[in-house]
Amino acid sequence: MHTKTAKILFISFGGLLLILIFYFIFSKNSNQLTIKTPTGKVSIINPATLPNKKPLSLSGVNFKENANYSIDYYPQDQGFIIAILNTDIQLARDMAEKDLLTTLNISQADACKLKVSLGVPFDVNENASGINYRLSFCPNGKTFPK
Amino acid sequence: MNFKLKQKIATIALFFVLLFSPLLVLAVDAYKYSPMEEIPGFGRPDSYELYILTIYKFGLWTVGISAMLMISVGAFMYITSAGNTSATGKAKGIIFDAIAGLILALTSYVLLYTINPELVNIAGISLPQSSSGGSTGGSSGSGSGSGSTSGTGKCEPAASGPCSIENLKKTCFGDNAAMASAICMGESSGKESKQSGDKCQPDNFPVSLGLFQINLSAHNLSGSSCPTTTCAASAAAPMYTGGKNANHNCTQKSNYASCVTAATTAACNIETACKLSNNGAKWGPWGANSKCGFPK
Repeated sequence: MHTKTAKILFISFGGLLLILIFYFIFSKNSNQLTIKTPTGKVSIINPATLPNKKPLSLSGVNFKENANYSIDYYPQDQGFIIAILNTDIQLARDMAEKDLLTTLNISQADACKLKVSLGVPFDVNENASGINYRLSFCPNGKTFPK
Repeated sequence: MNFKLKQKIATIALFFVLLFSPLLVLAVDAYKYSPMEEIPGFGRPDSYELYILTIYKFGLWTVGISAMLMISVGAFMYITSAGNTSATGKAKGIIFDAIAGLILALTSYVLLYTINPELVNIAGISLPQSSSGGSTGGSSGSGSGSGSTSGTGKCEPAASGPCSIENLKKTCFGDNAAMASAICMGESSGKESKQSGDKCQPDNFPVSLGLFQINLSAHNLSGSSCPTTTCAASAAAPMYTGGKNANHNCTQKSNYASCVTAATTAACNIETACKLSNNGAKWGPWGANSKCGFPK
């Protein structure tokens, strides 16, 4: 093979490889986000692309907020925070969990792989405050005190 | 042993000494590593694992910038070679070497990323925590001073966001981060814009705000992250109080809006709570502490 042909092949191959590398690194489906967890990958709707999102510190976003609950996402630790805001805490929790699954378009099994913190502030319910209850349908989920 | 071999061995030895010398600080106090100089563009990593990954990322940037520079140099040499075969060959060599280096560096990134994205993610690698690094949860807070006691185990720390132990450790809470995280979880569940159920009457507006539910009628905000600091009496007055001397009658003052914005900014709220709690050692004023039982 001529040296010139080898060089052309090298440049073509190198260029192609560079394009592929940049594609792998920078190409992200803007609407989808894949979170790698210790128990496997979970593909979710990227909370940062949702309408009505509000920016938070640490590049976080609040993507759901109403009188019953609020849901935040922090890309730094890929964690979700659900704060219960209604004094009917069980009803608000059920609604928040359902909304989380619908908004992120994931199954319960996938949701259990994510790092989700669910808490009740002190002024909403003193007795239930200060505990991370997690998702009720997950094996590590806790029930509210009676 | 010839000189070149000695030089190579010395270079490799120096590289490993520089890379692993920060491990010595782990013997003294985990997570307290702080380099004297910043890594350009990446600041001062505050732990050894961050140091390693920051150097790796800095290396990738260096390779990218160097490759761009060398391709430009090669291209310039190629253009100005004016048919000189030797100069043209040299220029091509420089360009090929630069591209090859770039491909090699980026391939390593892609390979690591494909194996496990956490390998190239600064937040993803952590060393095992030493026993001197403080408690791991709100159940056993590590208060400072002789009067400090452990928590009662009724509160849990926040698992994510600005109130996570990892994040609060980087603030003035330091070793008291576990207690601070548990109080934050109790007060606001880690919600930055949390507005209190405590409302000034008769206008019914929230008076305690943010992660640590700072009472704006009682406290000024403090810290470099706070755009507004003067709040007590300037945001709402007279002071909203609970308990025996309850007073829920207060009206909005001129600084209310700016104080709300500042108090719902995570960094400002954390700095203020840190000052009010004596760097996380005294939690008496917080309602959630009635459940957590941390030092008052």
